[in-house]
Amino acid sequence: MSSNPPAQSPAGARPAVDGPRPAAPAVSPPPPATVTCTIDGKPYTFPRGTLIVNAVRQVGHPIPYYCYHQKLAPVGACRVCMVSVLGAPLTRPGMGPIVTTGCTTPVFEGLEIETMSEAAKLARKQVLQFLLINHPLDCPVCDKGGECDLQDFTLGYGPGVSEFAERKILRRKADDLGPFLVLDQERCILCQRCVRYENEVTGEQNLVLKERGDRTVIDTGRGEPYSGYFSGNNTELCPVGALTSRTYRFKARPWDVRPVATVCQGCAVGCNATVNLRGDRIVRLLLRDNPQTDGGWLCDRGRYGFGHTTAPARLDRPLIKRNGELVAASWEDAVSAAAAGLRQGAAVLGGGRLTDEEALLLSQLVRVGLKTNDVDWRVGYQTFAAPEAVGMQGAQIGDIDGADLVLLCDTSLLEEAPVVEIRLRRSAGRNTSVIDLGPVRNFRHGPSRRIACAPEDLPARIAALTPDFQAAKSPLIVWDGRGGEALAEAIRGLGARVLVPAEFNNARGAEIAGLVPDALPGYHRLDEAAVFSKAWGAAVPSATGRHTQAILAATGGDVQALYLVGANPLRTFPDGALAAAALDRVGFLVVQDLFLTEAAHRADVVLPALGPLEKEGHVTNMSGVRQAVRRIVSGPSGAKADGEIFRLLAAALGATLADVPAEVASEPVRLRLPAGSASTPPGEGLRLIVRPALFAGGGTAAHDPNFDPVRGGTVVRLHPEDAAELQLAEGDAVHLQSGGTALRAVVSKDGGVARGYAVLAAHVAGVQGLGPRVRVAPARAEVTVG
Amino acid sequence: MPWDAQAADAVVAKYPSPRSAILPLLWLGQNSDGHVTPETVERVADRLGLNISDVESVLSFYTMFRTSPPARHRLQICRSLACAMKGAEEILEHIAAATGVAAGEQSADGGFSVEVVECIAACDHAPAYLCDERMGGPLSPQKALRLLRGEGGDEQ
Ligand code: SF4
Ligand code: SF4
Ligand code: FES
Repeated sequence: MSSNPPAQSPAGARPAVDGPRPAAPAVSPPPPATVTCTIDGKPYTFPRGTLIVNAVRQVGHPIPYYCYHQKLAPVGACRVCMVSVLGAPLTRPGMGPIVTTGCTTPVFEGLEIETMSEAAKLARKQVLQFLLINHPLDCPVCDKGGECDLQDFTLGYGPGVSEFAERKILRRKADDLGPFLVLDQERCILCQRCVRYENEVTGEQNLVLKERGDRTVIDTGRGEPYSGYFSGNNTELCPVGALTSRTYRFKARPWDVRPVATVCQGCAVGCNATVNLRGDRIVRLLLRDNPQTDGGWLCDRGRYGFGHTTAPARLDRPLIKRNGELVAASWEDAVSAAAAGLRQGAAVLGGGRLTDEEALLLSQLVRVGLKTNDVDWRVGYQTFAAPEAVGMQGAQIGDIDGADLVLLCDTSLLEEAPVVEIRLRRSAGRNTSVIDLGPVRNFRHGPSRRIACAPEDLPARIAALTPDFQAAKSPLIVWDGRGGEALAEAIRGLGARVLVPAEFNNARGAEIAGLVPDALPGYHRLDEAAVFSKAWGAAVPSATGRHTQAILAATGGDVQALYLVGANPLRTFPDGALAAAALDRVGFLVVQDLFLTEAAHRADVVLPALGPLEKEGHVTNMSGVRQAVRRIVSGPSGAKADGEIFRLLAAALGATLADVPAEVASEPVRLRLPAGSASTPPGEGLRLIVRPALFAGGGTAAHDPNFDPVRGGTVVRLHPEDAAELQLAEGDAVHLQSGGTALRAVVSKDGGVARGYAVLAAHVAGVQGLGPRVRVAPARAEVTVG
Repeated sequence: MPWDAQAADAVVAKYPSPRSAILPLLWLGQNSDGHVTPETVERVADRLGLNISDVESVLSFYTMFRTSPPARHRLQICRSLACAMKGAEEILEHIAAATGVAAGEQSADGGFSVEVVECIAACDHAPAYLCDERMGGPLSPQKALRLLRGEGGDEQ
């Protein structure tokens, strides 16, 4: 290999490829920030570097383009964006205009662009004719019909007839790429938008070009199912009907859908989306760029997570337990039964999935209706939602773009805040160093420094990173709030801003509304209770309440009744045995939810609630951005919005809920965190850890028919060497045994899991019941559960 | 034959960016196994830090790579413009009529395979061909049948 430097060119001047060389100035002044050129005869000024395609679009002149896309790097593959250009260095003096691609050529001073010259028109016409040589022209049955660039540009710029009489090449049609995509290879025009998206944006390369020449097709690497969380964006990038959504196929035409703007409530990122309705049914979600939150993309959880609105399993009437059976009841009967049961010694768990407004109503209901501070939204692993509430400085999602150091503290952005992971992947490829700390590798699509350690060693490992953080200019920590005070203290010690993905989509809204035992709305101290009493017109208790663990432990004692609001601790609470015992012991149980969850099965009264896309209000995302959500569909006719249910319950309890927020001047409190997990004692078997997985869990996803294709069985991830020692192969069925319980699972070998661990997905039935260590044994072998 | 990790390292060391080593590493696999096996693709991806799909994409682009065990003789006939105009299609038809083996197929006894390829940069020899990695042309129907029987060998 030669390592010679390239031939020297005069300082600052670009070597001319062609034509006369410009005289080299001794010191070149910085080039002006703008350039002036003409488009179709009129002069315009643009920032330097503006591509011709964008310049032409900005001044409102039409220009066709397929491969070019604002969110992807230009490639110049389709050749349809042809325009005539005149001006050195593209053309030489005395030479006429030439035709070139507008998507790869930046404007420059003195450039003359003609978009409708005869030469440009002919070039586009020929390209369009070529694109249709093998195209099936099945527009009448194509989802894209009506919003297809191939239809539009062929009509606008193409020839009226084809000169090709040859037989068309046949390829795979209705090719199920699974789980959400269907590919029609015949319709593909090989613009490579999907390929570049998979390369530049997700980095997963789930879709690639295969073969060459006229046999080139889009496919997955080996024809295997598409396996990423961001497949749906391809359907919006694809300019034709080649990549389509399984859920939208043959469901609607673009001209008979009604668009409504809203915000995804699939997680706490709060991506902006446009819902398309046909009649009163949601047929699809499209992305709606918000640089603050989504950065222009949606994940599949959000894009396809609307099936709960019409899921057959939705609760559509209240239920009351009579003689051990849940039977349908009227709202009147259910509300008065619930109120009667909750009147004495009630505690409330949940609220992380409400709107901000509803959370505030629940907070009031708890204080003035149930007369307690025994309330906690934290029914899972997350111990706080707002970094400011625990003495840390919060970060914005967009801060990832400019961070030079990002510490992932035992947290997976991919599983907990998917679209934010895209940002991290992109900046990790540029100038962000990523440290991936914890027992499981969480960052797998970009360069990172991996530090494997046990959960209890996290504080010490974090303290050891102090020099890295001192050297960094704008460091950032991503922590999902799992663990306790010891870990929080270590993180505070680094002095960096913190981003907290949430376990429940509106955890932050619940927390600021005061759905915690040690603060009133706005993180106000309980000794401000008098101010709230005045605003709400009823006495607000000032004694500190109990957090989830203490509430569950006190059931059967002085917690006589439990009200679960969109909460199912049997699936989410880390101590599953305690949750199960608590729900068995409690004297009276009210469950308010969308589906008949494991907890609802044990309830005395079940109140059917409306869910995301069925309620108005606001939600607060993981970095504290408040956004409006819309009521787009009405949901089951017998269900009510949570806020309305709170008002009915309050009335039955003899209280009224005020609409005005209290004006309080006190300093916010700092929330108490649990001490933190003790280390697991050594023992037999593998150490069990439970980590979030995007599609594994409960909530609306558990019952959404759109997610049937991704709802596999329980998977246990093991280090390949641990699997080998246990003589287990990929896909083997095993029993996980701990204490007196066992769970069936399927083995997945994963080099990203530290040795000695078994990793299960959180929010899955049966997982929380297992102890800190599990024995893994083949499912068919004789086993004694001990 | 086992994957020669040392030879692979030597190949990778020759290039400024790992991705440039895809082709030579695939050759390494093909030369030792007779064709590029799925394991070779996985090893190449792993060695270069690339996605498997990326390597599969490159592999499928080049007709010089085989992904199944080769026939004893492999005849690749160019059908790009110059070769098509000089009768490549007719030669393929002749082969099919004489042997029953069409383009893209292998004879039942594994003796030979016939493939069409895009331009092999030998238009001046149109219709050009590759037989067992040796380039030649112009090809005639009779010569094609001789090559398939393993009686080629005289020209470059
Ligand atoms: S599938 Fe769509 S986006 Fe991908 S190359 Fe084909 S036309 Fe372009
Ligand atoms: S990242 Fe979260 S908010 Fe965004 S689309 Fe996915 S589930 Fe919805
Ligand atoms: S849009 Fe310019 S070449 Fe495709």
